[in-house]
Amino acid sequence: MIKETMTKDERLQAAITLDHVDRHPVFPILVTSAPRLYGITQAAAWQDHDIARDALIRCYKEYGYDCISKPNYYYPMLPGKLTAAPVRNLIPGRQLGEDDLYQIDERVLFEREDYDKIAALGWNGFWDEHYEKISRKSLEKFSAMQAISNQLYCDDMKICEDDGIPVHLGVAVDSVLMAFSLSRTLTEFTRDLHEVPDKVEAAMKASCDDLIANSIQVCKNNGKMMAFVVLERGSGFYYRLKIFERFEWPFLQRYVDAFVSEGIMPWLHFDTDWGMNLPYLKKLPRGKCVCDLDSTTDIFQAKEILKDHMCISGDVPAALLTLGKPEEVVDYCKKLIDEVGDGGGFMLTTGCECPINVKPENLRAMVETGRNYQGKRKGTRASSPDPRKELSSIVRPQGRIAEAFGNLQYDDIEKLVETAISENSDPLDILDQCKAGMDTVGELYSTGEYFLSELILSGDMFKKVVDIIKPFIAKGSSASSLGRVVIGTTKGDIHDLGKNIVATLFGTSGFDVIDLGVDIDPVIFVDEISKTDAKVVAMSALITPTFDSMKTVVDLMKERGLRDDRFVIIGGGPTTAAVRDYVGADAWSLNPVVGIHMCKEFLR
Amino acid sequence: MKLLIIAGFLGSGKTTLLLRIVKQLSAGPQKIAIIENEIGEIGVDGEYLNLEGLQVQELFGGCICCTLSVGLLETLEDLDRLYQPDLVILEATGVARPGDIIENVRKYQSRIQEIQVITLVDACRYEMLLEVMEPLVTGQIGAADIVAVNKIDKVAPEALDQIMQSVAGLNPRAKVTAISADQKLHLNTILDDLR
Ligand SMILES: Nc1nc2c(ncn2[C@@H]2O[C@H](COP(=O)(O)OP(=O)(O)OP(=O)(O)O)[C@@H](O)[C@H]2O)c(=O)[nH]1
Ligand SMILES: [Mg+2]
Repeated sequence: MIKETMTKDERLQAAITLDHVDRHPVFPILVTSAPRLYGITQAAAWQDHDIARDALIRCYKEYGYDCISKPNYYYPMLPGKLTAAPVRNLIPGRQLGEDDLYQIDERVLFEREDYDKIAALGWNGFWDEHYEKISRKSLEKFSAMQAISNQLYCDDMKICEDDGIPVHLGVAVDSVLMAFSLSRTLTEFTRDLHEVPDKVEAAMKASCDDLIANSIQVCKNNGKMMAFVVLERGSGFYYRLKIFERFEWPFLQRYVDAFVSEGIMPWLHFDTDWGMNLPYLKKLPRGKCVCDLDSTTDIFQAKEILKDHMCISGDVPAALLTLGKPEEVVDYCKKLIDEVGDGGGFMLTTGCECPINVKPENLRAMVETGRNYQGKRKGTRASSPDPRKELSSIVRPQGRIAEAFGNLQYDDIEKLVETAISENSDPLDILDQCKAGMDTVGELYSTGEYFLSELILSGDMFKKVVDIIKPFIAKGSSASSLGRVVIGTTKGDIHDLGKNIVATLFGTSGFDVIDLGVDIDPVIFVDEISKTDAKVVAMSALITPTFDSMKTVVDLMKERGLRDDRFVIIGGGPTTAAVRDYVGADAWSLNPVVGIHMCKEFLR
Repeated sequence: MKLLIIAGFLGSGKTTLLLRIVKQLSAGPQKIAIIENEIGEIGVDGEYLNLEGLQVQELFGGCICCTLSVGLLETLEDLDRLYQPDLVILEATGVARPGDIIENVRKYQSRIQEIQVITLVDACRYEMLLEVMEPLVTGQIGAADIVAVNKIDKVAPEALDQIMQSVAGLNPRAKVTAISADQKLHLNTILDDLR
């Protein structure tokens, strides 16, 4: 048993801010399975909130986790104002069987013509006018019902908190895209995105602030400062990144900014596979939100991307909890604690909701492992919030030149490099140090410490260094060519530093390098591959929109019969293994030396 | 027990195809069960199939991750215990990636020996879906053994050629056929591979 030195609230808070915890918080997102565990039907739990609340409390006490998600089956609300699409729920005992699971009945709630109206009236104004049409209920009656459910929620929350039970959820709000997709249905909304994107975007812009304001008001009314943001349909599981970038990401950023500035913690609940979208989350403020994964996204990869930046919660799979054996649950939870929990910023939770048929012994296994297993690695200590210190925890080659780069000692760099050369340092090592220094600058830029001008300055420094050491590198290169490589940064991206490093290294490793430059149209890229018959194609990205144009290059290669027998490799800050798969590349590396080694292996 | 997954985006014609082929498939000695995995709408498909006197289980519910994946595995277990079919036909929800289903079945359902995937592609909407929903579309096509481009009664032959080529490019391993489930065109191209 781990010695507990924090209260449950302190533990949750510390996990989110990436600070030290005595152990990782552990809790299931659990609602519908509590009555089931005690032989109560779903219909009974829907009809009588006392019954539901008592089952939830009983379950919490029996299994001993850190908090409950909701105190009953209802959601907190703001009477007359929506924080989510007003989809109809089919309720057990009414529209469904006594012990069925509730479902949503997805229907078209507004027509394509209505986008203009939403753009003019905003989210609240539109539904004030439109709600009665679709629901056959008067808005007044609806508001009165919402007021009652909200009161029940607050009363039940108070009962829990008086009993010392932390309650998790202050408001549940759909992301803007989610709210629109559910209101239009997935099929129609997808068509809208294709056929009338400008109308959709205008309506979303007019709705975002209302959804935010409604949510903030709900949290304030019930005194629970946590916004559970429902995200599913904007993911890279469904849509291309360009859809995410235009219709989800800007609004999600606005949500997070607004919530954080109101002291509300955004709990980003990501259903489906968000692997492609994860790099974007690094742009959200550090230590303020939770990235909650449902077991479809690769949580271990998420850790790689978000470590030291955002708390991750997840992701014991529903199938494992229902059909697995307790030993399997224990093993999986240990793996999560060892890997995702390493260095802190983790909560052990269910991947999405705890399934209704969870085996009690599996739920117990999950909670017990969370409470008792310390983990193999460094444990639960998160790094300090100081970004400079944070960076020092990342292993990278050290050296005077790397440091000078990181500190942007523009005036010193030339001298340092010349000295190093005169002391017979390996030019490749110098280049490596420069790259490490550039990485430091990049990270300080992404945490807001450095500004764009400083990023550009570091680029100039790098060019200076390359000019100095180029003649020395060339000496070491082999005489016979290994083959041609076409390298470039594709359309939409004008960053060339990383690419230049790699191009230089390709050259010194014995390749004939055809460096196309930056912002290269995929057609031109592929023309060049065809013309030179290069066997290696290398693409770099420093910003995420470039993923789509890299993908276009590979698609075009396939289309033109140029893909077979060729090695496509990608790299650059925001790229990951998932991006490699998305793009259809053969390899991905963030380390130029390793990447070039892969290319050599391929040619062998 | 063998599992046949019929996948494809919402409205691509999965139920229509299922109704067309199920009679032929059940003509032989094998015992067939059907699982209908709907998202959103309720019961229509299932009720219709019940009239045909087949064993039909319906799966509803919200989340693909927590509700549907488990529901499917449990239904397979129930069917095996109570009915012991030779072949289970699953109409997947329109937003499922067959690869995810296969992964789960392999992990938790040892009674399934063989899995086959037919993915339906709606010829009328192919271009549009590929333009915006490329990840899901390629996920569905990529995991298929057979890709059936459906609703060919609604598209011009040149357009169809292009779709077939594009589909073949996305999954060189699959057999690609063109059908109309509704008009019963070329259904043999699928049936031959299923028997
Ligand atoms: N023109 C034409 N329409 C078809 C064809 N096959 C199916 N449809 C129509 O397409 C619509 C959707 O067909 P369904 O079979 O319900 O599609 P589904 O994939 O089961 O749909 P969901 O279960 O909702 O995902 C219906 O209106 C069908 O009549 C076809 O070959 N040609
Ligand atoms: Mg159907």
